[in-house]
Amino acid sequence: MKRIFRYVLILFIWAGLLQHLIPTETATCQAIEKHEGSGSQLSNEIIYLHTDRENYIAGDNLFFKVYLYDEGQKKLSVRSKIAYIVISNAKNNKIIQASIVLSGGMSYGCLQLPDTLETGPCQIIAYTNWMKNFGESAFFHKQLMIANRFDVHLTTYSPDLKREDESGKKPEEYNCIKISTDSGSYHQREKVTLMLSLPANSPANVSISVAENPTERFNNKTLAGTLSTVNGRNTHSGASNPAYRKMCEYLIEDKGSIITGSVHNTTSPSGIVVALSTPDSMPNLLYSITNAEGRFFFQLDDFYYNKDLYLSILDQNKEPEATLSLNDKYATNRDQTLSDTFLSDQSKQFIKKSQTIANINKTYNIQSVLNEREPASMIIRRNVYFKADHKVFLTEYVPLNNFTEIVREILPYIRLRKYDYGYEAELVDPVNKIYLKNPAVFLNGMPVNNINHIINFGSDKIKWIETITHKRIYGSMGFNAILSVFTTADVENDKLISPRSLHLMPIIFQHHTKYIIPEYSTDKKKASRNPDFRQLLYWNPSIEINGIVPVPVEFYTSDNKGNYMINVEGFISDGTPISCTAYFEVR
Amino acid sequence: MKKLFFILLLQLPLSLVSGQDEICNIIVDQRSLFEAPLTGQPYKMNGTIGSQLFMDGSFRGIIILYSEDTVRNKSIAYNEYEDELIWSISGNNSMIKVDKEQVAEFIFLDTSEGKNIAFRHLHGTTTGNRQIDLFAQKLLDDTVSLYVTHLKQIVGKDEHEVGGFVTYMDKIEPKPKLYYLGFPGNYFLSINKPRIRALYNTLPDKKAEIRALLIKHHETVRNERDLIRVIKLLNENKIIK
Repeated sequence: MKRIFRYVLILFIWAGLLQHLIPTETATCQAIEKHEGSGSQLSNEIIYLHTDRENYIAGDNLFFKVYLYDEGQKKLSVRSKIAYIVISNAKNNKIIQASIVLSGGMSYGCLQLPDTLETGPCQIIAYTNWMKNFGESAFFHKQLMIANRFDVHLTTYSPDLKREDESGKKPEEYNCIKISTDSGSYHQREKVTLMLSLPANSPANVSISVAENPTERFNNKTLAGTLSTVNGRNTHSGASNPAYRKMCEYLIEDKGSIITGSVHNTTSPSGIVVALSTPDSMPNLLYSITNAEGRFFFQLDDFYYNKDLYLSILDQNKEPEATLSLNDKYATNRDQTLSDTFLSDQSKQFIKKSQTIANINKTYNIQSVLNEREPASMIIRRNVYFKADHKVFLTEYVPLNNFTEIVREILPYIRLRKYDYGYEAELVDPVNKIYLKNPAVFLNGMPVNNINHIINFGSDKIKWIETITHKRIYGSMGFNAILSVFTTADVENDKLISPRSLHLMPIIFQHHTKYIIPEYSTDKKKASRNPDFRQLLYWNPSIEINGIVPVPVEFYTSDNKGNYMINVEGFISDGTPISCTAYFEVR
Repeated sequence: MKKLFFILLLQLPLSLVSGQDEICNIIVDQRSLFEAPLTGQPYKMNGTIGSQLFMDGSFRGIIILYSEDTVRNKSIAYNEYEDELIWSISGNNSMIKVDKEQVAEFIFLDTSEGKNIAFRHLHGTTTGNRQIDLFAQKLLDDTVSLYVTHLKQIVGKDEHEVGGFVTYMDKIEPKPKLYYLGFPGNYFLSINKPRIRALYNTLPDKKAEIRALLIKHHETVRNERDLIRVIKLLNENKIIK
């Protein structure tokens, strides 16, 4: 009996030890599952892009609306504030990469397709930074066809096409709103009035596109179809998903863009202070201290958007071999799987018609995009200081040849000392009467901590100089004193900063855009000789429907005859997706 | 047998703890990862006769910046004499005078009075297009808010002789409290005293409406609490906006 107890005892001890050696993965998944069940912030997001069409000609505008759905909360996500969109061709080359700011889980814009694209199938991919934790299979993928304007042969293949008359059914319809047209067929340049209403009395926000219906369509999913598939298979909440093991790698961009990267070529990657700043008329700084893996993170705000950014290691003498690298937000690894189906004659005919229309539009320079005016937001700078102790404008003095002369003749409370390796500045604290060695040096608002870059600059290259002659605290950092030099516009910032610094291209977000359509309300306008062969008759990314009260949508047909599809997608306020289609003809 | 149960009991809490992985704290981690930097300069308080600090000490608090960032869990004090926010770093016993330009609001948490006390940076214009730039305690947060200042002033100097040297120390006392009505757009109107006549003087064009409302609700203003109640009533009835 004692022996049995002994064996049981050993067994439990081993079980206990194993439990504590292994748990990081299994326990993590359990924790996430628990959170997901209660609709926590750790659940995945599902993104959907409603595009105005599936077939484009190179040079066309692609209008889109983004919907971001929270799988845990079962409604539009209010967490991630930035969505990333990538269009890549069949060879997996990126054609377009863009990002857009989301508000309440929605946003809309327009991408201009480059004029020189080859004919072929393309894929539009959308995701948020947070979605990367769940693997690329969780991203939104939609297939498009883009044809070159001058490609007469159209020998390319097209993936997974479905002819509507062959498949025998129209795109899936879910939770339909009522779309009623005032007629089943229209003449050219005739007014179309659609009435949109919901079966129940709850508000909804939808996007609507009215475009010529190609005879063959890709097998892309609708918004409601995407959500029903995801909710049905529930793949992103299982502990078996290996993506969970990488949790925390990609952060939620709930306040704005997050920049991440790593420090390399160093024996001790942790504890290195990496600074991010932009050329400005005030010293500005964001800093991040690298973690054990040498990774750094920056949460950007409005001040840092649309500007050149510079990343540098703040302490120039620490880890002189260390280099910086940045994570590419648009990096995707997934290979496309496109089947080799050649374009049918009907598809070719449709594309050729689109090419002719594109050529006419180009010849007549017909513009269809209008950027909406964005509301001005209050921008707060990350100032290192607010008011300089001393400020000297060099234009007010006799021109001097170099910085040493400027210091000697004009600048108060500062001296330069020459060493074997170059010059160093020392500032004087006039209150405590002490020298403050190793002041922080800023050039055009960016930290460089090396005075030797500008030692040969005279009054012709320096506009003004500011000094702080007392100690400054900036978060967990302390500066003995600050010397801030601002150069004239002809001095290139790239030449002022350390060679191991990184120059980042500005982070620019897509604007909200409107689709401009002509109106033919009078006979005179109708008789206008301006060509109008629009295949996209109407695009409105945001229509508010208030329950059963019908909302009228009005637009005019073009001179292009054909079958048109009305495609409405969106969400009811309770998180129910809407995907509906209707058809009419222009004769 | 006893040993076995003992080991089994030991296993139980360990297995419970093992489920609490760091990953669950991702949201908290992310917030602390991007905490906005407080800026300022090292601070040394000059000796005075009479305390310079609001409530005589440092308290755990949060600071809300104009950038809309919130800096949490800092030991803070308000210097009424210099009208400055002081951040105490307990680790190295040093004090930082936080740049007033970046502070929109600070809140003392769990004070000895058992409640949170919020101060707002009143930075804007007041009567006669004059500029104001000071911290004041928030008494009422509404469309039109109510604030009260806690400032100190020198009332004299005391002479001290230490080792044959004569030193002078400032003697400080609280300034009379001044109340401010805070309107949208950083416009502020001052009320000298918590009295009905002072309120009428501040809002002369609303005097009749206020009087009618106070009579209707049997209200008057004799002290700070009355003033808060009345301003709340004026907000509710949209007499001031």
